[in-house]
Amino acid sequence: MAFPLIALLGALFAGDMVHAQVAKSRPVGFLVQTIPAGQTRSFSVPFDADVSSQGGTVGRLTAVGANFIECASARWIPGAFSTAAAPYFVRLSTGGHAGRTFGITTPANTGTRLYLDTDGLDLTTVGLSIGAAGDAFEIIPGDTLMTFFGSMAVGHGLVVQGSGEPNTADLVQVWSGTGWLRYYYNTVWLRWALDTDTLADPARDNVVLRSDRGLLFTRRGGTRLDLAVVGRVLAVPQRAMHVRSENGRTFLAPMQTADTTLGALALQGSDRSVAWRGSSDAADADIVSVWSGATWFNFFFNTVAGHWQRVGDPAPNRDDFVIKAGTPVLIQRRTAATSLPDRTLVFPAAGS
Amino acid sequence: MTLASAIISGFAQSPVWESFNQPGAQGSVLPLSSWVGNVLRQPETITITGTAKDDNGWGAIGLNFDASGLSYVTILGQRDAGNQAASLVLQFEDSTLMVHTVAVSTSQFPIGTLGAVQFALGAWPAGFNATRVSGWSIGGGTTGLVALRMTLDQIALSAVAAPSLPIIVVEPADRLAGVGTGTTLSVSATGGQSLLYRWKFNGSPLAGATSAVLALSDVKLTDTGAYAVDITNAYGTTLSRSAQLAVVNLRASQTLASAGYLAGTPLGVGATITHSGYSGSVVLQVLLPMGWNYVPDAAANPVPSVVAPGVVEWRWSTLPASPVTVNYSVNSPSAAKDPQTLSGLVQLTQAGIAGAIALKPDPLLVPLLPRSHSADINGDFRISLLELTRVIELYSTRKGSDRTGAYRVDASGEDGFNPDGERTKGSVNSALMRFHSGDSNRDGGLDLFELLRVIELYNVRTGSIRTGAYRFVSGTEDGFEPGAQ
Repeated sequence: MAFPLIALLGALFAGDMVHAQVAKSRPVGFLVQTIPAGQTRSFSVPFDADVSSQGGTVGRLTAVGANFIECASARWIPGAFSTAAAPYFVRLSTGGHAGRTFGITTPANTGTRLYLDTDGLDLTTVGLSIGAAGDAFEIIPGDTLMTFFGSMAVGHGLVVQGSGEPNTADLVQVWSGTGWLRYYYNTVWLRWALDTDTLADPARDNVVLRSDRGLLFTRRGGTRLDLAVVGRVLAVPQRAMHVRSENGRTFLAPMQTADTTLGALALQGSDRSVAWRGSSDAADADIVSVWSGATWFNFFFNTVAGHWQRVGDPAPNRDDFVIKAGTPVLIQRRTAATSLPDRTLVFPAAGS
Repeated sequence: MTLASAIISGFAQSPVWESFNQPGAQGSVLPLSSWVGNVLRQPETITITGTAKDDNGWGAIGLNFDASGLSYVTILGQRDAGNQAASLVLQFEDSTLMVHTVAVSTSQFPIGTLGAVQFALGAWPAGFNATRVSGWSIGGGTTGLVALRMTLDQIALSAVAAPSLPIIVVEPADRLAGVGTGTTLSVSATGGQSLLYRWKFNGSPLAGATSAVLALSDVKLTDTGAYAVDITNAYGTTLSRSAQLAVVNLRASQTLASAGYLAGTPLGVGATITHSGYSGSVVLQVLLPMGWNYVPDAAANPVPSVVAPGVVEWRWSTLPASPVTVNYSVNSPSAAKDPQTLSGLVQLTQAGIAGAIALKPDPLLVPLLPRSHSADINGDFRISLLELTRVIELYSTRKGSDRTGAYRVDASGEDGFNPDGERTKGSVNSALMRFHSGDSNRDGGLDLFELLRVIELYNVRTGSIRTGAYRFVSGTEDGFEPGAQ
């Protein structure tokens, strides 16, 4: 085992909630994403964070409600996973929904119950397994703007260029579903802020960076910025919820720790998506957009030609277009749908 | 075709990548970009206007161009009013859609007039097929954050750095100076090794002003005006912006309230600003010697603030009538020695132009005053019979029938002390705020040996004449020795 320490820690902390007979750690990796001066880059973290220092962060579902899960043997500290400044996520690691992620939200967790942001899913309707052989899950530490990019508070370090106004500060852009929310560190207010904020607006320090979503980062500083991330490779397919309103867009993290291609992602496949809309006409097809560094490269699956094609590009086959590790993809679906499978995209498992 | 574009296209090593001509341009407005409907096309230029943002909005795909060996990009363009985009980003893609992205600050482009900006293309990324560049785009390189307002005339690629007109990297800045002081104006430019500079004042050449820095000394009110510099190389002349110099009738000085300082005692200082016709704001800052402290004075107007250790600051949004004087006190450390200096700066801002004037003299010398003996009531560094008598009076202090020599600090005493008749014989008061110079063992009383020491100083003679002269010195039991200063 490459990382026996992690396996040992897992055994120690998991206690009687671990049911597997063989303890196995997940591969660990790191990735450095560089944003050159004056440029904009997309990025996402293709790893799960390291195990939490909180106890009992792996277990099996013993009950679920519409927006909560329970683990009867857990001994969680009430509220420990529900603070705005230190968010956590739940990752299902076995069962039919392995790879699905939910943010832990309020009401505050109890000793055995976690309330989840389910993106509107009713967890009682999706067939999760509960009981002694219930679906396994893991609690993973998450990040906020402040925990990931820092601040000027004592004891913190600010890794981005802040400013008193947004036009000269580095920008962290989060896709809201309808537009980009642009955050920057305001060095006068000493807090994270939206570019449209006034002093009266609340601090944005605790804006959660969803682990299943991507970001755009605009570097206004005069030097490049290297963002190094480390974590554990996902051993199961990433199952991501995305918007299925008409022409709705979602900026997703495929959690690929190595370079992949459009052909390998194969989002048009029925094992990856439901009713992926291909066409010989880009205007009628679902779109995968990848930030190139200065503009979007937009692709659609040409059902006549049977391959991926760039919008507006006469070059025929873009199946081999490389999507670099950690690069998020902007998914645009043409038609609306609401059921759970309709709203799920499955990305290839990156490790095992 | 403009002069500058003729220079670019005339250079054999600089094939024109994009002319922006209509017709004849290689690229076009990119669909879905914010530039759609917001590009004003002229015969040889495009102007990005309307609601266009700083996403990449112009480019082409489907090309097959061998760019291997090319190392420099030269863009002929200008910044237009309202531009907020920080960068101009040029992206190339190869046939596999690998990309190479380079950025240049928009601040390098002149405002309102075309100028050539050249920058390195940088190394093509590993795996990038530079022999088959299939597409490119230009813009601010973002998702459309702020307004991009530029006019673009030409993009050229070259294997070597192409010559061009001098390019001003840092324009001369506006200055504000006080009458009789000096200031400098400077420019930074690229465009070859042998750049020639010629500064002009209100459009007329200044004799001898032929370097990148124009140093002006002893400026007069009549020196107020516009300063610009022509920068010339083999390919022509670039004119800088006009920097405004405002000479204001304002002077500042500083003085000591005494001849110097005594270690550990307050020192009075005054700063005076005289002015006429000045309407801007003023910040006065003084820098104290290391370890010295400002003595807070709540009655001061304005009340200064200590903005950093040893830095005291007064602020006026509008100066009161001239002259404006601030008097303040500073404390020196008890261990201070050697002469010290005080420096001060008056920061001025008028009509958006900032400047600074040093307080004169700069720096102000603060001598260390020789310390006089407590017995020397008139401070003439001589012990007179009357002054000796006062010491004997203190020596003779009694408690009942016991001589104690005890004294206390008392400002009403002619020497700052008075007999302390309450203390008993043999008692010690080593907690006095200060001690009589004669009290060399610092026990709060004068004994016979200490009195004899004062008498020794009193008896100092020059020839046959008793002078009582003494001087401050280190290393003796009381810090003094016989002899004149």
